Amino acid sequence: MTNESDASVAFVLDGKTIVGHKGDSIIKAAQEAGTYIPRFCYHPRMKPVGMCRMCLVEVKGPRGYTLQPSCFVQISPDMDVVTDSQVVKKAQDGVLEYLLANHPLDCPVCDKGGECPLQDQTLAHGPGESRYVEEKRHFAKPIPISEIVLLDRERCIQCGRCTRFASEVVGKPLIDFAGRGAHIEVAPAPGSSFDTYFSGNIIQICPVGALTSKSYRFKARPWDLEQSESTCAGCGLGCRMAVQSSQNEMTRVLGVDSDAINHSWLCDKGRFGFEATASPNRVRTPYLRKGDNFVEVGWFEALTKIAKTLTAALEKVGTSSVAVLGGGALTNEDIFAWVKLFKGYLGVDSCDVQLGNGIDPSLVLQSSVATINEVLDSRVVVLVDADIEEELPVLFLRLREAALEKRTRLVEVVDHLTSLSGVAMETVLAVGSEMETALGNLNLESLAGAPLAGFEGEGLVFVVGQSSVLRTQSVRSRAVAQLLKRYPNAKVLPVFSKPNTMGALHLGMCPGLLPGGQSLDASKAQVAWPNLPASKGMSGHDALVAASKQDLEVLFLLGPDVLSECPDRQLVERALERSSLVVAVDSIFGDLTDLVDVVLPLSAFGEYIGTFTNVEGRIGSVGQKLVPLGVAQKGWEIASAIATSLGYDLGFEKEEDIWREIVALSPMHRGFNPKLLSRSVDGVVLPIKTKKVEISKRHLLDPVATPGISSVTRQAPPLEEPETVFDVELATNDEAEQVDVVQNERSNYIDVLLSELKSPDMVASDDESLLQLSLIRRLYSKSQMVEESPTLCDLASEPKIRVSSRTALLSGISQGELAFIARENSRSDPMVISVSDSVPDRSVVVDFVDGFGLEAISGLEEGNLVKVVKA
Amino acid sequence: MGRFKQQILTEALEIVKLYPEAKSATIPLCHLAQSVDGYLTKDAIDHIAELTGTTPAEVYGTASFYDMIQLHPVGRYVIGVCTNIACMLQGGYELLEEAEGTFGAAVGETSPDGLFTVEEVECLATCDRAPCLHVNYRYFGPLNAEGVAKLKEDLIGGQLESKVPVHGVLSRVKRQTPELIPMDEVDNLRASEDASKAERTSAQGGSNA
Amino acid sequence: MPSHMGKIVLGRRSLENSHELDTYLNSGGYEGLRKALSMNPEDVVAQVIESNILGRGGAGFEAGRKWSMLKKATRRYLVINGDESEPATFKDHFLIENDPNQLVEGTIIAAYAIGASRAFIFLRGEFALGLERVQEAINSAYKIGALGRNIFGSTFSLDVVLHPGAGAYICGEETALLESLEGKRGFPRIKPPYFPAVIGLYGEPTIVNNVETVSNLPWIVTNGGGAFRALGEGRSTGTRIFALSGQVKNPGLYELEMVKTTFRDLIFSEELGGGLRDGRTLKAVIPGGVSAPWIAPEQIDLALGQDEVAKAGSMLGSGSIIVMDDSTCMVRAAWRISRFFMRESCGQCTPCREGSSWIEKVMARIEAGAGREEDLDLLMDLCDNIVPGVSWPPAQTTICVLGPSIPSSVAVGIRMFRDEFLTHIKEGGCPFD
Repeated sequence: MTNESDASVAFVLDGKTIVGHKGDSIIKAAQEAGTYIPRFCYHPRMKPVGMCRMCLVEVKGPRGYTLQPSCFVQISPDMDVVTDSQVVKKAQDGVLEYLLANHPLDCPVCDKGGECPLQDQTLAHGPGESRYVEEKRHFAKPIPISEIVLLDRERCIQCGRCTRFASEVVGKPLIDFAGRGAHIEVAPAPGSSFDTYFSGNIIQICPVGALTSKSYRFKARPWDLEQSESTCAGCGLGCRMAVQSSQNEMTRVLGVDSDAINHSWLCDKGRFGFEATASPNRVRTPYLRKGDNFVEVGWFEALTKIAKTLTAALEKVGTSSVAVLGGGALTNEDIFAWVKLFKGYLGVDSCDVQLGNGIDPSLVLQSSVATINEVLDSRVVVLVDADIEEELPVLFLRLREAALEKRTRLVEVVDHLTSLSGVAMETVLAVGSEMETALGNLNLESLAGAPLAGFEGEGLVFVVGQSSVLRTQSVRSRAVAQLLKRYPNAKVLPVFSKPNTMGALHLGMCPGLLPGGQSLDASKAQVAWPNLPASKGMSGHDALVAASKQDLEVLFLLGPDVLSECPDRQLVERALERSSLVVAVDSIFGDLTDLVDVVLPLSAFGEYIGTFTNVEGRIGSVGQKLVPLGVAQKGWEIASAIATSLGYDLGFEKEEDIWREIVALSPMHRGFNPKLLSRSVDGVVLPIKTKKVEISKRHLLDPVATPGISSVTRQAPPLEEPETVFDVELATNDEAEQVDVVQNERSNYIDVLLSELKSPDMVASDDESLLQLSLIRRLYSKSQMVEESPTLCDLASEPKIRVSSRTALLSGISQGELAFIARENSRSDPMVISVSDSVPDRSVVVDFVDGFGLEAISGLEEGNLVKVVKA
Repeated sequence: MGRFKQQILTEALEIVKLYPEAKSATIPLCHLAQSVDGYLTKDAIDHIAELTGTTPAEVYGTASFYDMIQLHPVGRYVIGVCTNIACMLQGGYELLEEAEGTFGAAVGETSPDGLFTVEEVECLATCDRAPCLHVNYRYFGPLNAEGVAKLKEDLIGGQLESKVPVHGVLSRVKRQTPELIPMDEVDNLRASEDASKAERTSAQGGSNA
Repeated sequence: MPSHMGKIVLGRRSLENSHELDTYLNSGGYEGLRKALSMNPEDVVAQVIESNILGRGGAGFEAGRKWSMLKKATRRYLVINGDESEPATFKDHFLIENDPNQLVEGTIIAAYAIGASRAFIFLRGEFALGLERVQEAINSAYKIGALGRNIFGSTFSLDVVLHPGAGAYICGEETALLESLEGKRGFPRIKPPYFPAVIGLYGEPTIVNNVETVSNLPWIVTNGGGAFRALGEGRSTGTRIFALSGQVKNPGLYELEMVKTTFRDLIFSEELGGGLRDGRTLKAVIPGGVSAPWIAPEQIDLALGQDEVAKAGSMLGSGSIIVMDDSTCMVRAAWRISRFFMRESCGQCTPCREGSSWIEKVMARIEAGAGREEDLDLLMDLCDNIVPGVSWPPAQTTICVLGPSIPSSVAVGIRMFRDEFLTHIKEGGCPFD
């Protein structure tokens, strides 16, 4: 780390000496000193280009004061900068007038009207009347540049923010400037479009109304919007965002700049997924199956039915007759209530947020979890079965940047080439159980620049993905455990596709554990619950298998998309059909509703308040903007209601009650206080290890697009200094030590884990036409967020069968042909063949998206050998 | 054509090899595509993107910046009349009008027979022969009405076939040289040259230059 | 005819088939390179510094000094700027078509002097014949051992690549040219860094030299920098090609010793411009390409030297001189120049993109007779927003110097010929139509 004096630079700003950071631009240093220089093209998360010339200031040089773009010129010692002279004002006003010359005055119907920096600047400094009497530039009005984004070229001020975002941030220059001079326009190639997962960002960063979304266009006036800060529910990364609404309807989501997480970017799934909340398929009331009919009922009737069946099952068969699946999309508050109900009152331990193809909870709870910024600053990041753009899209942007800037080195061990392979140092293709061997063969010492002996993994991070949907939890976990045994000081970042799988694991939503990773052993646990489980329950996958064999009475499905993660559709259907009572706690009717006995209406995203814990273990607040639809209730309220109908009282009346109990009994959450969240855009990382929590400053990084600033202040925002340190209620030293105790127990968890997980059977066959099947996760996978959002529902690409050129040759198939996957007596729907050497020989890769066509194949699991047959 | 084929593809691959970074070949390849079609087709854009490791949007963005790259079909002969100051002073606009009439196409348009596309262009650096024009970038001037009529006659009659090839300023530019010296070999050469230069200058007690 | 005329870069002008290798070799071709290779590179640089040749592209920066600014790096490039597009400038076009071997030899000498890893000759795409001839000259150079490995038996090895442009004036700006050579849109790079000698092609240190500049090198090396310096006066050493065009009897290229000739001589001398057409009087002269402010008839005794013209409030620029007689409508002339900049603005930065287009529209309106008196103040203020103070040499609000070129002719037109503008406005049309 550089020392303070090296890093600071004193310069003169409007006659006053200011200290800024070395390497900062004038515009940034001035802003931090409270002087706002107007700008359009400058975006703090992209490289400056000095194109719009709005930020011109005078800088003294050998030839006196000259006008220089303050976004581009870095501060230097004793530099003399003037931002308030007549010359500066004249230049800036000149630029403004030039920009307005050809800009249409359709502000009344422009989405940006009311939050438009061009409008605001004109209001503040512009002349009342235009001197431009010539014909304005004309273009055909908005043209689609993607399925999501419309471009109005007349409004465009050619700042290049969108084109730079595409090339610099995403690395996919699918739009560029075309033409020259006054005819310059933003354009995709003829016949192509701006197809990326990140297209919505260009709408947010557009300083005028040139880029609009099909969904928000003409929908609201910005001054009517209310907003609250929230955490994205699109994946486990937990991007910070602002949810905006008008008249009890969510209208728009904008990315909020968090230095720790998303740098203001969002993926399109996160940005537009909120639309699912307004789905016509929402569950408004409880439903109950009566004979062949599925009928609307009141809460009381539904709860009574549940209580009766549940009580009977527990009494007659016992706790092993009940299982609870899901919860990864519920809030921490919800999950804790459900865990307390089942593990604390009913003694049911078969609760699992994962379905057998995830990661062993001990690797998440006991290893040292890296923060995102630690990942980016590590020596080497090993991406284990991770296709980050598909799994944690915004992390892809940040990892790509870090790799390009050579801040870290990427090594991939994956089933197929990913969008990061181009910037990775090394990519090893390994299908199925070959992964463990491939990982074992990596020479991480040399990649990390470490000595061959004595290296224990300092500076290594293993990002454990779940790109391969068929890969089992034990295969994945064993491979990671082997790595951690070799490199005990390495850190881990798990990848979860649901927003709160991490929180669910922290709170005991997995077999054998209680909140905070405590064991079921009542004598050790700090849990004063009346009826703890006697023994470890079934995992999610085992519960499904048990149900399919009629060994289960009652199955609870908590939250959306619980079973869509399970590739074996036949298993799911059998399990639901053969359970006595299936209770779905959900906000939207899905394709499995026919197999469910009770649906309890759950409030949807935007209708509840709470917290998610992201993959780093960072807690972020989830904001509520809407009144829940119909008689829908929050997850924890439903758990409490079931408890009540069973004669118990969970003791929760509001979210604070839940947190009080969590903090009291979970060592991992010790010191947490939800109030911390309102102070920090970055949230709080668990476990809290110090008595003082550093709160990150809330920078207003891109005032041109940052939401939540009224239009006038957006142009000259107040820059209050927030409190940077917050006292944590670590009541006694003992408690602080207990946090350490939990951590010390880690020492032998790897050995325990390795002894529990048997090494996988190696799949091998001499027949080269037998291929290992791999299903790979895509962002637009089967999920309510995608299917119920009008913007997203058509974006999932058709699933393809991907094989290498050698495999294609051996199987007698070629690019573009239709073929199906055949296994034993079953075969898939026909799909299009894609031949590319991004997949290894002797394997076949199929996209795991809705309608992936493999529903008909029974017993889908890792190591399946299949054939690809021309249709 | 669309995509490059046969000998044109071979030429394209040769061109790409001339540059340390393939993207540099974008404009030469656009010229090459035009030598076949007269303009840059969508397929050619896609193929150039493949050959240069860029995206079609970048190729289109680059191509559309330059006046010589045509994004729409043009006539067999593209006629560019200069109206810039030196020609204007000598009757450039009158020549343009004459050309539009004689060739049967307004500025930016192609004659109905598909033979001529007329453009108004900036200075052709042939100002001692003002007013002048180019036909497929072969220069003619000074021209008056009779000159334009004669020019059309000669073009149609084939008298100018050797002077004015159809499309593509690169159609007669053929690089006939050995393979380029690999860059790492050059790097080594320069490094050793720099080392001996450093020795010389330190022997001389250090001079600048 | 002055005795020193046409002796250096235009030396082969009178030879038949001057573009062919045989002609070239028979008239001293490649002697300069052979001599250079017998010298240490730094001594070649020293000769060029000694010659004090000013870059012939327009900015007039000392070529030797530019070379010495090259940042140390193993990989560095030489790029020859043959994108001659400044209106009424046609000297490079001539050199390219008629003495391409000289250009190639000069390029190899420059590459040897700076130790370039590879040299690119960037030619304006419109120079179809020039492209053919320079490629032939390059091919010939390989054949005779002047390019490739171990040039003329020395340890020096080099490849030269010909690169065609595709029609954009802005690519004459050296950073735009580099962008274009990298396969991108010709957007000039934002400064700092101010010089490609620090960060140039592919991010490596790069020297960009004009065609005429390097075409002088074989002579300079053969005859010594001192011999070149002995010609001309002050900072303006050697000879220079002046491109004379417009309403003059003998438009053409004239290689003249710098400073020793005046504008009057060039325009009116019988063996040079030959004077105006019969019965016409001089109205204005554009001294160095259309970016330069005009000079009035009473200023034409000015010497053709870089500093001399600069002192008079204009610039010698690319050495192209446009003569306008009293038949010329100055509003139309200024409008046509503004139209040129409007068409050639790259569009990257606001003042140039919007300013050039707005100014052109107002100028067109005035020329067409739809002007208003307040348009003259408006025009001056629009110019001020590109060049604060509408001063010379210009300040600028733009990324590159195309911006400050826009106001030159408009502002100087209004200042010199305000009455003519007002006549257009009052009479509702052009008095010259």
